[in-house]
Amino acid sequence: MPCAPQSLRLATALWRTRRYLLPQWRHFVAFALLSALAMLLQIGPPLLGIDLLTNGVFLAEPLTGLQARLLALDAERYVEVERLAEEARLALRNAVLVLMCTLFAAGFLLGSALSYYLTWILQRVNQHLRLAMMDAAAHLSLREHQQRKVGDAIYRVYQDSAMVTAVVQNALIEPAVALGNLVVALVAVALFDPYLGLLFLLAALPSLVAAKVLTPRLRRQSAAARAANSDLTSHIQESTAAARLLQANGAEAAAFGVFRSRSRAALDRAYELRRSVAVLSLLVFLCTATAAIGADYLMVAWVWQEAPTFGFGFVALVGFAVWNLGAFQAARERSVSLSAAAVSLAAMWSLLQDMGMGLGRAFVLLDIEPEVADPPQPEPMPAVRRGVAFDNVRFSYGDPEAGGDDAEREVLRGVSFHAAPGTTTAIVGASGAGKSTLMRLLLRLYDVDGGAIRIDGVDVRRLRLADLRAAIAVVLQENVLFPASIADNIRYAAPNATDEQLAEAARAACAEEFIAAAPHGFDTVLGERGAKLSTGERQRISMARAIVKDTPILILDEPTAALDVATEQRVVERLAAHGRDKVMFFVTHRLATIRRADRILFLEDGEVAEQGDHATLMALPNGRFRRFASAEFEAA
Amino acid sequence: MAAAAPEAAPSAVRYDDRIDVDPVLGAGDVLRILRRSLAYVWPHRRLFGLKFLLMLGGFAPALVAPWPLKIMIDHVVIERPLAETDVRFPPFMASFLDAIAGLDTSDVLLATLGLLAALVAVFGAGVGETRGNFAFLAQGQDTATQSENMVSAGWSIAGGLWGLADLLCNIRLVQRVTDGLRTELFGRLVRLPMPVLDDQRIGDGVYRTMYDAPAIQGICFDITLMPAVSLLGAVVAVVMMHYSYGDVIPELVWLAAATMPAAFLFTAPLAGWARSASQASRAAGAATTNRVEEGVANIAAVQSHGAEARSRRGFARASAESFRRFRHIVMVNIGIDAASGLAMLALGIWAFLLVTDRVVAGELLPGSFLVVLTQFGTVAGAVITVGRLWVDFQGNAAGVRRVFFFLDLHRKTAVPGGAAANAERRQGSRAAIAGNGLRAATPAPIAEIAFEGVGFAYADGRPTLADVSFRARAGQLVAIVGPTGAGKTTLAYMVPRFLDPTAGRLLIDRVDARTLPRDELRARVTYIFQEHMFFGASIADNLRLGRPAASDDELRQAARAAGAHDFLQALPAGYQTVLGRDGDTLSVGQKQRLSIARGLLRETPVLILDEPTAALDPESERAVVATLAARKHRRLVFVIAHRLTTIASADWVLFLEQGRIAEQGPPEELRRRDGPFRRFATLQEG
Repeated sequence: MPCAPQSLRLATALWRTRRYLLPQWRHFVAFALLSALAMLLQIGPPLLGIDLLTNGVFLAEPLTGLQARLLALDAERYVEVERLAEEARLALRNAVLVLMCTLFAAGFLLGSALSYYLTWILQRVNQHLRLAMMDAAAHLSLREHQQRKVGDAIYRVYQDSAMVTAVVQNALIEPAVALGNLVVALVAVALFDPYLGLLFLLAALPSLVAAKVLTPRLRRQSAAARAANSDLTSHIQESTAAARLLQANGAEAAAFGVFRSRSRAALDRAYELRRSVAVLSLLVFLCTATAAIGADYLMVAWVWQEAPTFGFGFVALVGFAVWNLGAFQAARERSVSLSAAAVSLAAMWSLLQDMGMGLGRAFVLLDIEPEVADPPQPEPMPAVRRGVAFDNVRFSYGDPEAGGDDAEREVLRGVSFHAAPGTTTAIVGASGAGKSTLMRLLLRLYDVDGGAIRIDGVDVRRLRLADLRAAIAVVLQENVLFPASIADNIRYAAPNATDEQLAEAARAACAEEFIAAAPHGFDTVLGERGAKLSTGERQRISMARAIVKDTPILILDEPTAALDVATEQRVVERLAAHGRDKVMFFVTHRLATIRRADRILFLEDGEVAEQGDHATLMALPNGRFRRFASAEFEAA
Repeated sequence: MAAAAPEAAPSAVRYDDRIDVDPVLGAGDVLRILRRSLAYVWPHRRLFGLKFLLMLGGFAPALVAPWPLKIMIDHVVIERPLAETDVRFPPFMASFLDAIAGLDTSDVLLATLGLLAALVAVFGAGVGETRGNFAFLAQGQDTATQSENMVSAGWSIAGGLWGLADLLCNIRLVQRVTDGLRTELFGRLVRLPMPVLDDQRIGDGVYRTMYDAPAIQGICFDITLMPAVSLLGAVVAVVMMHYSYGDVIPELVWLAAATMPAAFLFTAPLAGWARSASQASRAAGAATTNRVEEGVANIAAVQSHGAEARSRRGFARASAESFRRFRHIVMVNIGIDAASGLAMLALGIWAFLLVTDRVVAGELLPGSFLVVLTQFGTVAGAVITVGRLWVDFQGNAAGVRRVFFFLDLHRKTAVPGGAAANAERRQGSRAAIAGNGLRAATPAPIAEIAFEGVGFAYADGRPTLADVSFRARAGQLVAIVGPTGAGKTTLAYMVPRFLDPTAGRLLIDRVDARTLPRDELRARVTYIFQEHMFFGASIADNLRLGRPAASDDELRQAARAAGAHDFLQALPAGYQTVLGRDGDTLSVGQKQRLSIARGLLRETPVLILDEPTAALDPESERAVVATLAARKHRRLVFVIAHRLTTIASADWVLFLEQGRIAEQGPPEELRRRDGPFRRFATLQEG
């Protein structure tokens, strides 16, 4: 993989996080200021303390005037003497101890508060991103959903969106801190002697080479690790959802085998990535440690010569005018923290590569332009007085831009019809003729490839999605119930429905009896996907859900397939009463239902082969509907 | 379990979970969890031993490094002669001291720097304080992403080459242990009994497997290696302190020894707090995953009901709650750090006073200050680590408890069965892994299935079947007919033992089904569900689910028999078409035909179809029924059906009403009789 586009991608990903960071900018500024204060508290006291302790307390050397004034010590006994007296040394030690403890406690409190504050800020950022991703996922058309796995979506929302906060923490805050530490340490070391600074700069060269060589590998391994983990999550999700199927087919062992191999693969990829991270850190550490040992040699030599320190004018503030034990210790401590800062920068570089990969994945989801979107200037939803018209509608499930092969898979090839309010339209045809697709297009779960669907003459694409869907109630062929109470499930599409409306809808759907028999009536909580109800019962709850919404357009997609005949008859009767002024669509195979319809739309190969009422179609000599219908009776 | 389900509502507010409704842990439970967790380390004991040795070695630099530094300060920088040393050097420094004895100062400098360089390269120590080596990658601000990182976490007290080896060994160990647990968990998850699957939230299952399982490594590692090695290191440091400084400052040695109990005293009371914060955070994380899953998996329903906004609000609430609870964990951690930090600070100040007194009095050289402080720091650091372990362990215990709960659920809900069932359970997952290989190429035939007074009631007491008796033989097509909710599916679930009768018994070739190993029985029975479930894999792979070894010819034959071959051929990629999520690109009727083809491909002696033709047009239905009729000669076929066309070709009809067999017999005979079946059939014909 070429290096440049990758870096660009990381940079772009970082740049894009600004949308989620900017709203919190005040917090970030506050955090930065407090952090700078914490850094000062961290570096200042040791520098001051080491000199006082080593030269003053241990070696009994006098203090500078500034030091004495800073600690409110008597200049006569601490500055203008050859050697410090023993009790003066002990008093000095106590002063140093109190100073250090105070600063330490302040630093600890500040540090703790900062870590809590940062968590709070980052969680706010993450929450915004998660919601944006959920929104994007919820508004994608079904066509795009087909190409993505659910588990992958979970993984993205959960893991990859967490990367944004990680970016803030690891790509902005921590590098800023580490870089700050590095620069401060380098400056401090250079102030003792510029040659020391030069030595460490030289050590940076091989470190940079190591980073340059290892980086493409880190990126590759990070991408592999994430993909492997996503595969694993998808597999767990699918297997859990289809556990019954696996058991019925004795395929648990096979699913188990796939899990094992994917789990192993995910762990192996994670291991390889971490190995590279560790190796890079080690290489950088060895480079800087070599420089630190070289520095030790130089510094000892300077102490022997009692050479003046380079920046004594400035450094003298805290006491290092010439090389002595105190200066040696303080400079050594700086060189150690320099090497530590370099190593943590290397580790952060590795993290950055990993995060770039994570962000890339997160933004893929946000980047998909929803195929089905609100128009820029939506028209108001018409009242559905004139009805619904399909005008030469064409559609295929393939990607419209892929062209070629997909043209042959066109599901609808120019369908036209009109359905007026107060009528029932039965959509009939062989499996795969495009019946359900027709209704999905009306709901704009997909957009048509050609032609148009109009409500009262207004193209549905010119309406707001929310308005359109609010005007349509659907009973889907596959009943999706949520693990909530029956009442909540029925209210799903009309949250404000009263209990009376609920009971009324349940009656219309012939669901009142079994709901009354359920352990807690309407408050009975359903299992995952409503599995504790029989298929027919679930279907009737879906129906009640559609009825309670009380919309001008009602779609029933095979509403009665899982019902026995007696129940079906009752349901159809009650629905007909309910839908007197509505545009109703039935997608069905059942002749009893079809016969009641005002108009039958017989689909064949994506085209309307015949349309008219039952009597008309049955009267057609050699009619295709007639042949189709007789198949149902013949065998019985 | 099921009894608790309806009452779950109040606690579900806090723990979004239907099954696991009582997740509060006591200290005793924590110990039991620990014992059980250790069993997962045992298979990896060699790696574990290696890690132990590497960790022990990792303590070396903290013990060795202060000495060359002392030589640097006292005998190089301030140029005291080596002979005028203030302390007894530890024995391991003896050969180095011999080597530099008599050298002039600049040679001593070079030799000491050489020793330091070696320590740096091997242990990463000697350039100041010992820096640990770690590998944590970026993580988010909640428990889920952090434990994702935990699966491959590693840590080493040492740096340098030794630290690298230690770290890599650590990561491997952690991965292996976690993998062992989550693999077992997954095995259980797909084998959960049907009633549990009906109740289980998918998102929660995913969450458990992926995010709770890693907690086990924390338990095993933190409670075994860490305290053992840390305490050992602390003891060695105290002993060395005693050896070198015992004569000069004996109080210091006792003080160092006293830090160990002190750290526990301060942190132990906070353990319960840490535990409940961690549990609450994990539960909220699972709730968030559930929301994501619901929103994404049911996207068609969400969109067509215009419920995007509500779905979003639900997710926003769950997500915000999981963040809030994670902040509690952060608070708890800060509190604990403060408590143990203060204790160590107090002792550290005391030690500081003791040592500086001696330096000022001239009894010790400045370099000794460094040595003693490093050693004291080693002890205090080890003690703080161990003190924190019990607290960290609480959080891990909460995660592992959720995993163990799942593992145990399998046992608790297993329907009481004979010895065979118990034996099967004991075989555990290992046998199951090899399960595919063990299965015979052709399953043993089944000649007869008999229900004798079978009844079934759910755990909450709702009866669904009562006193069902009938007999069916190979070569028959048996139709199970009846109004919605009559118990048809429950009856059919008994044959592959998805459910076991709660009254009466089911005989398969005169043997009680409960004594037959479940896997073996299911290898002989195919159940085709009403709902269509597919994997995001090619159609061919989906069809081969129940029989991976099926040839392409057999595949095509099964598809043809189910009426699926034609539309499969029409797909651009044919049988290799990869299905989208939940197979959405196919119509319901097409999915139904694929499900049937998948079932037919297994070629088992018993075939059960649950409403196979509900979504088929009459013509396709006729083709499927004809296929079934053609196949029944070699096997026993059950069909749950509404359509008379299907029923008409059956040899035997079971007519169910309210959980009882209202009528049974050949269809022609039932039609002649003036019974419930005839009324049913008349209605259907209109």
